[in-house]
Amino acid sequence: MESEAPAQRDWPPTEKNDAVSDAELLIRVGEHDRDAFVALYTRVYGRLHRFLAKLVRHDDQVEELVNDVMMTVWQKAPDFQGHSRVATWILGIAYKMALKRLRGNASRREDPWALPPDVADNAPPDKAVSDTELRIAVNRALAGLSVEHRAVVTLTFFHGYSYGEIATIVQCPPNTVKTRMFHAREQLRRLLPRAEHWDRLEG
Amino acid sequence: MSGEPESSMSHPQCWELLPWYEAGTLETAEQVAVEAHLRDCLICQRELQYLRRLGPVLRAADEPDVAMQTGLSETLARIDAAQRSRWKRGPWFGGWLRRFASIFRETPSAVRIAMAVQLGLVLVLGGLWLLPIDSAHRPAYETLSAPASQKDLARARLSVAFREGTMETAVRDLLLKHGARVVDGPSASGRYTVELPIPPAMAGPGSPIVARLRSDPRIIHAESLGTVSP
Repeated sequence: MESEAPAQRDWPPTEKNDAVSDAELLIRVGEHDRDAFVALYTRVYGRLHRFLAKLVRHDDQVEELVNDVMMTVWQKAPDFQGHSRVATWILGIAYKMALKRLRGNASRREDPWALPPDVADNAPPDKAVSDTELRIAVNRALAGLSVEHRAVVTLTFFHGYSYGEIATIVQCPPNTVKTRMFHAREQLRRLLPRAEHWDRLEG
Repeated sequence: MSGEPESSMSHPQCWELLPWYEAGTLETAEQVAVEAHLRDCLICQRELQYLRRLGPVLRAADEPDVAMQTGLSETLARIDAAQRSRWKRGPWFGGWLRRFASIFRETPSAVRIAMAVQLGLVLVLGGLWLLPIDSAHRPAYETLSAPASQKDLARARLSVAFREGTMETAVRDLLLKHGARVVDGPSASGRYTVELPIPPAMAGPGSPIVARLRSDPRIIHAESLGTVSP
């Protein structure tokens, strides 16, 4: 039986690990304090880049999107009401802008949501896979999810957000987040090699 | 056992929450309920085992933290450009507009629509009120005895004879055309005395009014009798 409390993670979003909290920095950004903006940019850059890299499969667009998001943060900082964590608020802006960018790509007949041919056509290998093979398989499986499903998986497993916070970021009801995760799990189960072949990575 | 356990959480509810249970991000009450369900549900226990293997596998595929590139300096340059443009616009204006936009965004959509309609009405009515009224089209106040527009004009008095056989309608048209009225006549020689308003500049001897009347083929005689002051 698996009933023990989950272990503490080392990847949850940090809010007050530094002397100045994200919220204090954002208030100063709202007053057009450039030093505060540089500090906030430096603090959120890695998390924001990882999030957007998972959503937008065009590497050349990720850096540009990070800058667009932070420009919006500079402009909208005075509107921050403090109803959510700063990181949640920024990722919400990032999600909305990524969706807009992806829709723009789709209208130019680039379909980043399309399942890669090697995922669509081939079943996952029914044999033990190496670490590298498994990582490639995971990335391909994630790429096979819709951007909405990929966002929920990324925010849950990579960024350690609760479903309530994810609902705030992607601006939908919490039950929709649960439903998206349900379908994403089913798809991942289908697209990934069977779990008994993961031993090498875990070992 | 895979049947419905005796807990406050149903099997589908627990199944949905397992990823966040695995990630350790559930609220305490939900965590307790999930654990209660897990004690009796073999299916959820197996799914949790699967998720506890899936989680690290997924996280192993996460992107490494990348070093900051030139993005910060580019963004700061954009901010500088935006601020320059803001100062050009006027610092008070941008702040006021932003505050208004912020309040407007937080307002429920039904109220927003009502506000927009009201604003539209105010603008339309204000625009109408501000429209300059053309004095030429303004209806003038006139008394029954003397039209205001002609009140301040002098009147030329003339002796006029119409060509024989001229119809009454033609005479009426002629008088109306010149704003004239018959004040006396006809005399034994068939002359009428008419008065018509003239601007002060056209008053006096040699008035072009006489020449104008004479040029009309229906008039055989026109002679000035002087002017009558208003």
